[in-house]
Amino acid sequence: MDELRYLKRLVDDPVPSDSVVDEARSSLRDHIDASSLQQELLSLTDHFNDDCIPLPEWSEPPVQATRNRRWLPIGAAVAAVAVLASTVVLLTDRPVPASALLDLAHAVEVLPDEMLVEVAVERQATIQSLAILPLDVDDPASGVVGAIVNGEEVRRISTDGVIQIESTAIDVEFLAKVDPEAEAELRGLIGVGADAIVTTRLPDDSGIEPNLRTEDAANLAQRLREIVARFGNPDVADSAETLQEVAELHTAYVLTTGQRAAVLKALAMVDGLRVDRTDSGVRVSAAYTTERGREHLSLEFDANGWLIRETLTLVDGVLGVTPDSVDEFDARYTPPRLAP
Amino acid sequence: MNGSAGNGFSDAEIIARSLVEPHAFGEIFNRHYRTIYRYGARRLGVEAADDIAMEVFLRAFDLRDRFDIDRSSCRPWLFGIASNVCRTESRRRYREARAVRRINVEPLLIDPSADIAWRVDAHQQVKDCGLIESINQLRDEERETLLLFALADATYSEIAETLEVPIGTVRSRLARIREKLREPLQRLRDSTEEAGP
Repeated sequence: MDELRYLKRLVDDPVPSDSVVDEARSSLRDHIDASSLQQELLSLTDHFNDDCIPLPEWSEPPVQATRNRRWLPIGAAVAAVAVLASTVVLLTDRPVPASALLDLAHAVEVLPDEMLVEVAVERQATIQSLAILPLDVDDPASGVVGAIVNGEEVRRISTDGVIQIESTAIDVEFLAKVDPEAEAELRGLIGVGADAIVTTRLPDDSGIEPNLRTEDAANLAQRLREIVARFGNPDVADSAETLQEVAELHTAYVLTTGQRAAVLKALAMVDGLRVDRTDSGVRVSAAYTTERGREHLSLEFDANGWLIRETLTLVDGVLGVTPDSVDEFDARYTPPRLAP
Repeated sequence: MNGSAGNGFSDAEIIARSLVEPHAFGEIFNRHYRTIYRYGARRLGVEAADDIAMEVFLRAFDLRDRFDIDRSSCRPWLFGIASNVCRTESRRRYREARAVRRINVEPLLIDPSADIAWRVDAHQQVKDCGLIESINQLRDEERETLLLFALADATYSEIAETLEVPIGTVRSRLARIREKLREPLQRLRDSTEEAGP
């Protein structure tokens, strides 16, 4: 038998239960209903002039639209409030123009390519990560506690795309009081201390779209946009998911100056990002909502276009476990240098 | 949710119809949900499969106006969305795993070959035969091709559409993969045959 067909035969064949299928179908139906209503409401907003505050045309929607939706006026009123609220947010929270990104891109693309990837390079990082831990490792029902694990990391990136990560847990800060005995056990299990160095090979854990890293700089920006447009989540497609792809690109590969510039230009084309100038570069942020709640993702680039900081904040925290505005992930990277 | 579109219509025709009659999209769900569920389960585990499959169809509905209706089947498009959803979930898991080194972290959780190894029976034998190491040595585009072939049951043309490469490239990649995995798979086959049923 062909080798790969043999491999396929070994793979199991999971089948969803009828209840799982029914639940999924029901969720999709609800989503379609909500989406349809949203489209109807949006079509109503077409009546409004951009320069004036919406007036209660909301309360008198077309007869056809209300025939089967008696509650539409209430929804429309709510939507009108939302429109007003979002207008206020836009006026008071307007980001710096994306020209900051283009300025940096133009400065980066004329830099010499000092780091052609002919040999392995390494990047060092200090990383703060949120961990949700069981209070008693032997008893899953014992409850959980949040902890901030501070660590250091050295990742070596070789020419064949293999990444080797050496990480060390330096310290841990528990977000709630923990029994001293349990704390000692958790510290030991987390691996706080010099003996906790773990080396991992991560060839493609980056999740980068195949071939993206080898794209010419001229195509990279377009490809990034295409990927997000085809497969992204429309709710966050043009912001968070693009930022995630960019973070993965920067931490998994050593980009040329042209590619770094292309990434910055791609970000300049994305709607919904907040751009702030920093002392030496720019910070790009996206705020969005996931099933876990509101999140805030931020990438910071230095004057050479290298990613030097990546922060993911859980705006709402985790109920009963972590406070609001806790950083799930905060990594500060050095620019790459030739590995010794 | 079935809408009036259904059997006899291509995926493209149904999606086009769903733009004016949204509930017609339910037929796309009926046709492909189990396939996408299976793909998600094989990549990230049964416990995550329902969430992944659900996310894929919600995204697909929202993105349906971007579907290329010149393509008859939407399976490659759904596979592409599913791959993206799986990668996002993998990133989230990896970040969590990185914070905690010795608990709640199966070694394979941070091993990209886990996508396949998790779903293969006789896990220890898979490790022993060197299959994981061999998969680790694959290039990223080769691995994605293998995942679609082995876990999604995608055809060559569907893989080509999903990855946006010529079908000849898919064939040559699979030939290379086949060669690279030949020895460990042979060892695995020998060991499982020795172990007997």
